Amino acid sequence: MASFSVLIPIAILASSFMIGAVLFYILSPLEKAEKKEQLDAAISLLVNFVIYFWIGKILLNIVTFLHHPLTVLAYPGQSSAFYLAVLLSMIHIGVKKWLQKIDIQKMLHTFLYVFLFASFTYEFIQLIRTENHGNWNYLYLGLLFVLIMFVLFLEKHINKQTLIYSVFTCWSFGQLLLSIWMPYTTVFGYMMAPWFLSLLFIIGVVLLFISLRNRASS
Amino acid sequence: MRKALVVIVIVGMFAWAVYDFAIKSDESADSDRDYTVEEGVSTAADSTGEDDGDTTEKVGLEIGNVAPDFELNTLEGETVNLSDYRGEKVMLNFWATWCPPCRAEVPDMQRFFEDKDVTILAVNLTSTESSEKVVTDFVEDYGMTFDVLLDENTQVASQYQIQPIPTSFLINSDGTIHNKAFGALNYEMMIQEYEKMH
Repeated sequence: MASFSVLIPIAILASSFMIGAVLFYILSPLEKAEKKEQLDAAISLLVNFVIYFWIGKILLNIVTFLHHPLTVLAYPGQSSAFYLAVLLSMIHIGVKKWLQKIDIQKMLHTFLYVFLFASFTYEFIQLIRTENHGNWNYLYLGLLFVLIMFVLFLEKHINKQTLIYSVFTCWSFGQLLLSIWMPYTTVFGYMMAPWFLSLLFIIGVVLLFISLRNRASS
Repeated sequence: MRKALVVIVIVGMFAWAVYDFAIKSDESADSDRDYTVEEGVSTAADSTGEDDGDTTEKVGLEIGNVAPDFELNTLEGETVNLSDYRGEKVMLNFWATWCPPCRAEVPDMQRFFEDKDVTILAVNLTSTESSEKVVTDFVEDYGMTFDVLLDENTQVASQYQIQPIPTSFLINSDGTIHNKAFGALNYEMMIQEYEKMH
């Protein structure tokens, strides 16, 4: 029973991403083969993220790991490992782009779909399964709902790059507001610090500004 | 067509969340008006989960139940009861020095104890330790300033049906169980649970 309860959060996380991937497959206007290719790239990105998260967890506790490896491995990772995994994933994507000339825009578009639907599913499941949840869950679910509707209804009317960056900027700004107003905010259970969300928001604004300027000049 | 179906499902899920929020807000407003704290209702003998005859609260190990009371000695030799801490948010943690996740959890518990207005009762499964001195040395090494209780014959661990360690019970200030955690909690998880406790 106890070990089962430890597995439940992992199962919820995995099924949320599966639902995100399925919904991308159903809703994407791309050709079947291209959808599959994009999904493979998004799954590979997620797998890399998990690996980087574990590397981050070990690197951030390297002294303890060398003396008591189980102590680190058996302990849940903190958001610092999450931040490091985000950084390493960004470096990974940058290197991949440099070496293989991958289409980052397509990859981010797929990731945007999967992330939004997976987050919405994950937070909804948390609302159902836990009795004691605070107002934060409802507010974050509301933010995700608005962003999903934004993507679904405006996708055909906005340039893909502008859509990706504007959703990213709105999400980071919404999360930043939640981190200020509420006691905490999380992404898939990992607490996000205001400085990290501010950084994401600034990156989003800069990318959005560049995207709009490029469109205006072309 | 597919898109319309997905939109309907998502709107339905969100509508349910809004409805749930409205219901919860109403219940919260009602409970604020009628709320009373039952004092001295839980004893170790009541831990069977039966309704207490004099109160409306149920003693047991499920979320929402009143946590069963117990009496243990601290490392300093002081006798404490769980019911002494009514009115405070309590983290009741079952641990041992030989358990790797427990060792990893202790620094975060100490930080949690220092940062938040929370009482931590760390129940050591003393019969599984080689000696009591091991516990004393561990407490000194890790600079633990919260209460360490000695469960010398694992009576309380049995009462709380502890299987894996660490296991934590997060107990609201009215003595009810807010949540149970099997396995280690990190600092951020403790903070998240603390903010939801009342």
